[in-house]
Amino acid sequence: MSRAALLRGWLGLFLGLLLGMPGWAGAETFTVRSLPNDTFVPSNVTIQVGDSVRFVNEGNGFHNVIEDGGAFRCAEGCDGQGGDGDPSAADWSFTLTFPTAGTIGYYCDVHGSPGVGMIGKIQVIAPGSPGRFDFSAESYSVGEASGGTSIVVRRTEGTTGAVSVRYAASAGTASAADFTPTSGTLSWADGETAVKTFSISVANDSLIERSETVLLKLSQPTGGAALGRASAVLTLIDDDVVSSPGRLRFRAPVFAGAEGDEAKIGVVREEGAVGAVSVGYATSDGTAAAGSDYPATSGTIAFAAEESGEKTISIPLAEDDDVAAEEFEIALLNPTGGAALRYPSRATGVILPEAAAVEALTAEEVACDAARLSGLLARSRSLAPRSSRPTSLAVSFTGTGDFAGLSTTGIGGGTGEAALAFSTNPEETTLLANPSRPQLFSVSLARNELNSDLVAPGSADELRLTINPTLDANPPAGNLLAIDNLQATSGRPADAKPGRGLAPLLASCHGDFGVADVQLFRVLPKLARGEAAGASGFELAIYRAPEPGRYRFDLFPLDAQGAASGRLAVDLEVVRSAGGDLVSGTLRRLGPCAAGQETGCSDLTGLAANAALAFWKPVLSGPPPATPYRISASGSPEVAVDFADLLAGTAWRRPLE
Amino acid sequence: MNPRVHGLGLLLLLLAARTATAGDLSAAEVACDSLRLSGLLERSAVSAPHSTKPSQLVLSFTASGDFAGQATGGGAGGSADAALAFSTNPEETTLLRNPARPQLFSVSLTRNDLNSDRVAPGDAHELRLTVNPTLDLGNPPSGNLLALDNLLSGGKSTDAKPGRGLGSLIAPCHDDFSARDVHVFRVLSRIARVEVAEARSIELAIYRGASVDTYRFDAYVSDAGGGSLGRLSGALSIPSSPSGDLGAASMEVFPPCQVGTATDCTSLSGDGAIALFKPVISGLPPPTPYRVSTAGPRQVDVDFADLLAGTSWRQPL
Repeated sequence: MSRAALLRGWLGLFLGLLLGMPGWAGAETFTVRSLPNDTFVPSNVTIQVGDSVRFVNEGNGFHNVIEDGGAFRCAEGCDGQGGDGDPSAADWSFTLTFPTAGTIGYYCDVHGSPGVGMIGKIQVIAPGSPGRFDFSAESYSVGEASGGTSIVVRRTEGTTGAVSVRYAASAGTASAADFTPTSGTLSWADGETAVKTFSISVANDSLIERSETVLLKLSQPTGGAALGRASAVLTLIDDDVVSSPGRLRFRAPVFAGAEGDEAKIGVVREEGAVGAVSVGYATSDGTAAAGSDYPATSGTIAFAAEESGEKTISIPLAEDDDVAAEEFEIALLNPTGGAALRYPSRATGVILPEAAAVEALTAEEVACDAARLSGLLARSRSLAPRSSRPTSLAVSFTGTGDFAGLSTTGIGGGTGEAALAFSTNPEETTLLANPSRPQLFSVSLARNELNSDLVAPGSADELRLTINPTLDANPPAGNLLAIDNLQATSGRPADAKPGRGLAPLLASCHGDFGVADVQLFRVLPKLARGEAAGASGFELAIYRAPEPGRYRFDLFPLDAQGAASGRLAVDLEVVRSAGGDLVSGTLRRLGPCAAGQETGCSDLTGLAANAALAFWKPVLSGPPPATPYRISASGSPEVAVDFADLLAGTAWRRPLE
Repeated sequence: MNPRVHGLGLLLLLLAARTATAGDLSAAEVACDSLRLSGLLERSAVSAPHSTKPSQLVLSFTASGDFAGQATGGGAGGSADAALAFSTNPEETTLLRNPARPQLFSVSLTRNDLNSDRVAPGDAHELRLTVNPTLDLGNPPSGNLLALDNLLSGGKSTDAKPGRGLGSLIAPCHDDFSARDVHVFRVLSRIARVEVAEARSIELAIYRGASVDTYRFDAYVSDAGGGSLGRLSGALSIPSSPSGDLGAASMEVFPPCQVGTATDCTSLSGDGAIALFKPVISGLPPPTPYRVSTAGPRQVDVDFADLLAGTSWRQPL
């Protein structure tokens, strides 16, 4: 039966059911759920003719269900049937009945397209059908050195009776010298649906040749079974090296280095290593001048017999006051030993100026940074679902002004607590797989596993972070960006969601931050923890003050409902050594907000009236933490910090360069 | 009032007065963008382990100058091929849990699920992307590579790895890109395909030209053995229209490189083409694309009203 006829038959009965016609006697109903990880579960369902499938979305994301050929489109009901098939994050369900044997594929409009992404398949089996045979893919590949590969054959759309099918692997562009032609029979017992495989042996020759193909074919089905995808191609990938002196090239047509550093470019010998060879090289000016920007450089690179791979040319670059990139050229010349040159044999060297980072900021730029962070915190929630300990959520910036932060559970300087580090990245435009869908503004949120403590499900150290990217103050859970610190197989390390709610917060307020600022944006969230009796958690914004070397903290204690209860604002002024090490600092509590003042001041109401901000020495898990440096809402307004003591035993005192 | 949202009104005012985005770029800034993209492409590899069809890796920028791109495989012109969309974010400093460990420069790589087609393991549309963040350009252990895939379950949707190899590539070359620039980068990533006989792997850099309405292509082409077949380069000019929609445009492929030239030219060893395909829902055959080729025509007019008909992609978000 053709696909179109199958769909017409299905649609006819579907309409009949909606009009109240009786269903099939003894028919069953199967359930398929859409999950937050953008999958249908189960994704493959095998049913009998006349059975029904109930699709369910229990607030698990922005989904719908579309038949691959467009025969139905459903979510809160179906298009054309009195319902609405637009994707929806609401709780919805609908039921379809299938009167005709065949295979029906479907997908979610937002997260898939026919055959890829969030998809599923329903196999409708006619009672008594023996099924059909398919290769698992239309193409396969294997390297010559692997020795061979296995090919998978599936029985689908029926299980009645014992069946068999013949297989054969024959020469395409490959010859019998490249592989072992093979043929045989695969058999299934009555009721059996397991996949079957057959093997193909590949010769590991030493010839230099292009990739070659083997033709795969299924034929002669027995027991009344049919053939589906009965042809496929196996490609043999050559991995041999030519027996010649080889060819020489630069690794890339462009290379670079920063002023005061070195520009390095590789010279590659490949496709042969017979005999010793050499090649000369020489630089020439572009917008950069030899002598003042770089030294005129020339020489010879030599490869011994049987030596291939890459050798590096290093060119030191001078420092100057130029703020624009400059260029020079380098060329390979006069190869010897029979070697040939290939592209690229010329390359452009780019001298990158030292990056100009922000130093002093205006009061408006600082207020803008503070507002971005507080806006993000207002949309964020950190949760430790299996712990009664408070959580802490600190947010700051990456060098380019995207958000980065750290969620922790437990109190105290890295001991007995777990961390979930993250950053955001605006994707700006989501062009869905279906081009007729509107563009969506979207943001991605990703866990940084290097700075996170990954735990098993059920651990007291489990952390979850959600950010609301929508314009809705209380959207369905499926519309939130969500990550956790569960180990990879069970956790959610990254997420991307559409939503315009974050759009005003994403663009940076000024130029890029320098390495010294970024160092403190990474170190301070590791050390700083809020304290306040009765607080269910803490949120902390860390940003630059107008003056270089000064930083601001806005600590928000959270009440039992997770609402911010006042704000303790603190300023940190740091002193560095000539080498850049953090030496000392001064914590200053910022005074109460004056009328009309919104930032750079404390709001010591609610829980903030008894709050403190403590900086704990980082220690390995286990030993109790040392006494922290602490500034409180009611204690001394100024506290000295000794960074040599606070960061003793760490490599964190100096910016990463 | 929620004390966390103090200043949001001020923020909206500040946003309106914020610094302008990049206008015309200098030749060195364009070269710098090109360098950043080719540098990351050199360190990147995409594979479709269960398909014999060529894969393509497109790389461009986010507004703030981080990298964003899309790997595709399995077909041509948006029909029957699958996408793995991603972006990078420099973390700059990794402070390991053990404070006695040294700081490490690190970069994160994240899949954008909304722009990616996710598949079951073993599917012909399975895509794998790796980026080498280390100083070892030879053959570092696979565990040191940033890695992503488009698997539905058991896959890898984000990765962060230490390594100083990307340090020189992450700093932006100029002010933020405009919304129009970013939109063109995203649309072209979706619809641009490079066609070269014998190509097994194609890496395509898309970046801004010197003037505000020009965009550049550099396609780095490799054969099945990983050997370079050269670079196919071209440009696309999309003059601004009163409505802001992408409208009439012109696309060209650059002439062959001559002795002494390395940029603004094509060094492909054979013929090749750059094609812009009308986006269609997977499963439908792609219409005839707008195509420029080293074998001719070398220049064509492109009508984005036709090219993007039936989509909502003609105007920046």
